[in-house]
Amino acid sequence: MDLPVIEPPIFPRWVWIEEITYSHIPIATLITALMTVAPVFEYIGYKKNDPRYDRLARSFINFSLILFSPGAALGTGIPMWIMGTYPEFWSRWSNLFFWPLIAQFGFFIGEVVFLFFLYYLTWDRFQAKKRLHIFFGCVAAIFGLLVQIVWDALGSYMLTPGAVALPGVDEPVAWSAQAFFNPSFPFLFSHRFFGNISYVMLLTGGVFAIRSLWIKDTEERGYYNFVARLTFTIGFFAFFAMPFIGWGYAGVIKEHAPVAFHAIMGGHVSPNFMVKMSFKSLSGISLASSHPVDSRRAHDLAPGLHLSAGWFSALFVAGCQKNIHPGADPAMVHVCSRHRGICRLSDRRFCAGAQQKSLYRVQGDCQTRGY
Amino acid sequence: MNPKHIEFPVLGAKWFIGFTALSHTAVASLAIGFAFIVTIAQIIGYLDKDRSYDLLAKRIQLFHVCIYNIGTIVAIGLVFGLSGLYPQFWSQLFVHQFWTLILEEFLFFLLATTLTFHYFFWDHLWGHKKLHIFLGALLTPLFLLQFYLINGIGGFMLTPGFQEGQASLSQGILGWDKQAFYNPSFLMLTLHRTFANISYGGFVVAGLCGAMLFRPNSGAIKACYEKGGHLSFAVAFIALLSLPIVGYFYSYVLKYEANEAFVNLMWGKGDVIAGGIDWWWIKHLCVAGMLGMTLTYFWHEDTADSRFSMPLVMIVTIGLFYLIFYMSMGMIMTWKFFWIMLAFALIGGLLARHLVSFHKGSPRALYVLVGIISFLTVMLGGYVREASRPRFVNRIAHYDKIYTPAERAPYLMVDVDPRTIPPPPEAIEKPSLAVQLIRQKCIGCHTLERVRNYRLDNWELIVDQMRAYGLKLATTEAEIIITHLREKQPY
Ligand code: HEC
Repeated sequence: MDLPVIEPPIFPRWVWIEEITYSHIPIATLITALMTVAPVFEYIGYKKNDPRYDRLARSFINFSLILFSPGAALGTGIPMWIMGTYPEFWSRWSNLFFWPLIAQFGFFIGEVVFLFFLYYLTWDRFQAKKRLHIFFGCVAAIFGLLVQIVWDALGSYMLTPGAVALPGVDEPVAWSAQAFFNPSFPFLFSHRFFGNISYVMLLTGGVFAIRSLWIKDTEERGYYNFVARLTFTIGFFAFFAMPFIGWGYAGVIKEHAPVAFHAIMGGHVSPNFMVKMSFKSLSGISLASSHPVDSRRAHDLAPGLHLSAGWFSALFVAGCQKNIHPGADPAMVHVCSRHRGICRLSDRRFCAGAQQKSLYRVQGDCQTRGY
Repeated sequence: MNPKHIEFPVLGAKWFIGFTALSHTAVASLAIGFAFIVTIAQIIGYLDKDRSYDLLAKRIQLFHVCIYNIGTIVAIGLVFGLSGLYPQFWSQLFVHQFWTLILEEFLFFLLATTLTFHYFFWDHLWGHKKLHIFLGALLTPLFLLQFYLINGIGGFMLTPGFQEGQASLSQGILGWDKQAFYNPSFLMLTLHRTFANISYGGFVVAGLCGAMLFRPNSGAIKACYEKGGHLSFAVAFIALLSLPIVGYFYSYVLKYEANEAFVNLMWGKGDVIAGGIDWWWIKHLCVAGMLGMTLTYFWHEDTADSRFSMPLVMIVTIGLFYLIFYMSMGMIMTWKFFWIMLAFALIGGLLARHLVSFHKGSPRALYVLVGIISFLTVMLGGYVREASRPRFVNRIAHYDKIYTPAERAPYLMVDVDPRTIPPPPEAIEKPSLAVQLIRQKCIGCHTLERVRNYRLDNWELIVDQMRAYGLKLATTEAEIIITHLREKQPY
């Protein structure tokens, strides 16, 4: 039998999935990043005996908790939408990754138990047992990262399936190491890990910097400035890891998902990529030049170094664009959109990424065309 | 059934689903009661200018915020479990009621946001108390609406109605199926669960207050928990009173619409018995015990002259009413049922009296005990409801026809020249009028298998016969059906 598919109104199916997913991702990444840095700050505060770090860590966790339930609710929307609009894909995908999904369920429970009950609720009560408290925070963060690992593996599989085809619903697989540890998984994970830290820390720095402009109380202003400088610096360094990981990531995509690679570099999604990269170089430049004026006392980093780093990343990006941009070919665009974004055109069914076989076929196609 | 599927070690697929579903219910069912009591406590606190009620409400809400996500995540685990272990069933059911579930998901997001904001902005909104109370009061109706949507699907699995419901599943109605949603047991399920959730939430809040009263606390905090216990115990008790009555009518619906489940429950068959124990019975013993305990508690409260008490004459009336109710149940069922219920109610009453006097008039131990029993009752009720019904997967007529990826071959699996990929198939065609008529008219009293299995060709006679059996059919409609059947066309 054939499974019917829901055709949602207004937008095509993939737009709905995309929007629901994007609604979840900023929240989830924010929480994961805040959870990761909070115990580190708490530890620094404990070692240095500096209550500002403790206060900051605590406000991170408080903020995460506010966002946690809405974020989880939006996240639940993702599988629900996929189940209705791509039921066959979902059944086969969860057939391939049954155990990772169940493990993810366990990690998620662990995250909530440690974050809410053992880290948040015990903050005052465990003042005397600071090490234990920090340990609980670390465990919560590790659970959070484990959840992210599972989703990154499942997501990267859709881009680089690594020669593991989606099984049918009547061909139970439940776990495939080859599919889970697929070629682009480590790159996706590390790219996201640093991306999260950098995005969230820069954002925090910005928020605190703006708030410090408003605040009257000088002591408070000191704290806000301190936070802005601290998080900004962390965000900056994490940001700097991105182009290097991204380079390796692009290499893997080029090898294992050539269709997607060409779609990004010259095909139908290349404008998005260009915009992203322009943002990136812009922020690189502004990062380097907007380093807080009075930072030299706190962190002795020469502004010149920042400036050159910013320029370097800008040039790097521009140079890459020139080298790898192959120019669009209408036929190629057609193929690409059919495969990587299968759902985008009009195919009624979704297929995870492109099957390896057809990929090679298209790759051969590319080669004969001289790409 | 699937020839091959993923095995779940130790528990097995069925028990894994049962276990996660029950754990989810345990947490999720608290939501309505919690939200309701928080609002009541906030209102009382506001009107009386009594901070301790507000403090109580805040504590309950903190507890709710903390456990809320556990409920969410267990639900996600349940969804993943179903996707992997019952892929065909789950995909079909999901597509069938897609819009219901998406609406439910949207409400879920609203609720999660409102709940967290209500708690985390408690102090920020201190100057806008009415707004804050209103925000919290929104939670109860929203939670009710959310579980209303789930009840439509849950009720459908128990009483599909065998008419349009069955037709809609096998014909693949997409997204929203009114007939299936408003299935025969929907109303009773919703009523029963509404009161049960309020009662359960209330008893659990009282139980938590009771537990906190065991800890050495300052006077103000103690007062807060004492008030909380009285308030929520009273709310829960009033909701509890309706349950046996609603339950009676609920089982009445099941008798006709899901006879197999009814028989399993009443005669203790199938999975209702697990480990040699009839869990349905245990559930009833819990209910009787709770009635005994709560009635005794209010008897005591009347003399203690507390705010949330009832006049003695009311307690006695309620007691008498339930005595008569259980006597009539005894007449319908067995007298054994009546005597055992009575015995448990009496034991519960004596125990309650002992517990209260042992703690020198403080009902804290009773609160904890009733909280635990109400938790057990909800768990057992949920368990037997799901265990009693025939496995739903057997009921989807086409479940055994598995879709296989081979059907996708032209699209993606084989080595094709991308330029030759055929255009996507058009939207599913609407069946012809004759097919629609047959699907509508001929499933009222038997399944279409009955029609398909019929080998002779005298369709005129057959259709006439069906009309004699009571089928309402216009002559033109009959002709269309007969022609279609005679030509041996598919339907
Ligand atoms: C009002 C109820 C009702 C409806 C509606 C109904 N049937 Fe029946 N049908 C019956 C009953 C009762 C029997 C069993 C008669 C018996 O066992 O002798 C039956 C039996 C049959 C049989 C088997 C007869 C045999 O001799 O084995 C066929 C074929 C059949 N129905 C066709 C239809 C068709 C076609 C329609 C729709 C136009 C339809 N039915 C609608 C009540 C109904």
